[in-house]
Amino acid sequence: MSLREAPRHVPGIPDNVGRLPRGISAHTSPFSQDVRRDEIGRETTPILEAYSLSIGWIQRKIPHVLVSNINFKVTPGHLIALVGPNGAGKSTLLKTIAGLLAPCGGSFSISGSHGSTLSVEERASLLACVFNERIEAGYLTVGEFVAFGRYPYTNARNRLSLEDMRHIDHALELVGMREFIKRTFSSLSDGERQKVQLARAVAQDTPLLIFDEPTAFLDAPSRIEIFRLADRLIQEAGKTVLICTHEVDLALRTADVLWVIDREHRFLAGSPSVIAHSGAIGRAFDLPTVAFDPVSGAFHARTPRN
Amino acid sequence: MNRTTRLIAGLMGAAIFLALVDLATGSVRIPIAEVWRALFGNAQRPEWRTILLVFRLPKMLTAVIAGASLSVAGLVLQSMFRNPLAAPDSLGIGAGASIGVALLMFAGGALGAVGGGAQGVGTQTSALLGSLAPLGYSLLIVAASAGAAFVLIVILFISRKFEQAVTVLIMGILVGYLTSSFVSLLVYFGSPQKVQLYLSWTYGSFGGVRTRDLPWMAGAAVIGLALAAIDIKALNAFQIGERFAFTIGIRVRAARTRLLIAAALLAGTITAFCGPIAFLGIAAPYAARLLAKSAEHRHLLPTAALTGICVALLADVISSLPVFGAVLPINPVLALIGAPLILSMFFRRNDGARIEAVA
Repeated sequence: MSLREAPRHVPGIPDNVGRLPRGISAHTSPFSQDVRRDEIGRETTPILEAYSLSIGWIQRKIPHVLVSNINFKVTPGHLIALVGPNGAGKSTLLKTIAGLLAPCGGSFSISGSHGSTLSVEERASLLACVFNERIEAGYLTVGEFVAFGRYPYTNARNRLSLEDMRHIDHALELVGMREFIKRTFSSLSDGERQKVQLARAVAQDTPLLIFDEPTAFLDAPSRIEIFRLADRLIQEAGKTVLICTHEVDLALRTADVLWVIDREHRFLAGSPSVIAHSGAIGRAFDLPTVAFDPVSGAFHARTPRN
Repeated sequence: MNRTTRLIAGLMGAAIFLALVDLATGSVRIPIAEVWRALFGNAQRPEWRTILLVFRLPKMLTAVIAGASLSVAGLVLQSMFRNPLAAPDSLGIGAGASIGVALLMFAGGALGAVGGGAQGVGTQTSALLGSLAPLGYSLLIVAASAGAAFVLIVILFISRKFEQAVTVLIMGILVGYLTSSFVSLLVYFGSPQKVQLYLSWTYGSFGGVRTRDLPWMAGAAVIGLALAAIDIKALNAFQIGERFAFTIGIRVRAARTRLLIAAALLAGTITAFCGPIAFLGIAAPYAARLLAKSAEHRHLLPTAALTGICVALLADVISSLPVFGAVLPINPVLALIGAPLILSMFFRRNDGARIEAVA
């Protein structure tokens, strides 16, 4: 049921490796700074790594922990799907990784650099984020919007170099929106806006991309298209994509790594199939009226029994 | 030559034309052709040169500096707060300057601002300034700047404390209400003569700035404009959101602080020298956005500055038309010509982006 057009084929590695829990390993030590490689020479320095991270918010210097004891380690080139019920802490985790919230405890690293020591500029060259926000900017064109992705690279006068233009073109090409470059952003449909937002993140040319519920407000074909796009980014450019989503079935079918935050604010990372069959998704989401079926990978209403 | 270059060239031409018309207009009519010659030595009549150099040139330059400064201050605040209602005035910066002036006039009784009698409304400001001179005039500017700076510091403190720009805007409006109610209490208990003087300051005037004060005003304006120009990228990104700006590598708080200082310096200085001229700071940036049809501040900043200059010059020309028998105060003239102008721009454009353009 994979959405991939072609299986990821790595010479010397059997194809079915693609569905194994790659990029995950048991956690024993804090981040290693050295560049590690696997047996065929691929770089395996974790792009994202957390060590007993706790997240939440800090109000009047008192931390309010939402999720604690988060551990993960992900090597580059994977699709990570973050799922969980509303209010579990998904957005809080994304914001913490994006540097918008300070961690309440523990630590995390992006590409080997400690999360809390990254400068604003360094962070912008390591990860690009698309958060759900209403964008109203009148005459802003699609091209100008995607050019925001080049901000970490342009000078104060915001002159685009030829290379910047190439990145913008390529990013729009990738999402199939190149002919929209002169259109105003406000004239686009929700689906088109979402694709242009993703193109903006791609233009930022970072190894890690974070999409916060990119499929909200979209129709079913557009949702699948967004996941297909994420997959292309991984296949063609070797990016790591972290998607926070409510599309549990899509996530199960496409993601390499699944992160789950359940109703009790517990964090769990693993391969989608293992997690699905372990019943963890059911535990995270199940309500008296709705249950998750690990076989079909979908939710269904519980049939009332007497 | 692209659209923006043409627009800026056109606006520059309009500004130069209006500047010459402004120099030619007044109770003594000087033909436009003669203005140039009179300025550079061989005037047909020697008194024209005096009129131009002593009265009209400083007034014209004041209008130019005020127009550019207030318009850019308004543009900066509108983009930063993503709100078309954000203006130097709604942030209480104008009210802060007023409080300084009101305190000086009403509480500083020792200065005894002796009214200049019943002259034309426009000349009353100069009469007031004259009566306070030489010490009082500088004091007026110091008082207005200090008032604007005080409000700015409160707003900056608020903006450090609160993350969201809208919160800062609402707090700014509240601070503005506080200061203006304090001013209205001062006015309520003030003597009629002082109230009259204070009111004439609130009418606004480009004519009260002396030639030797122009460099100070111009210097403050240049610093403010330069500060705004440094943060073109931040202004562009703030239009989308502050969180967005952060994720593309902009140091949000530092940029916001610089931009607030720029806006307050621009608006505070002009309010100090010319009185509270609210309309320019709200209307000129709207007009600039509608003209430039762009969300890129590399284009919007010069367009807004030039639009502000043109509007200020046009208002000054109309206020000094000899048919009125006196120089009209600048604030009512600005609103009378400006509001219909902007309204007509909104109605003429049917491209669907009219309201959203400034929202």
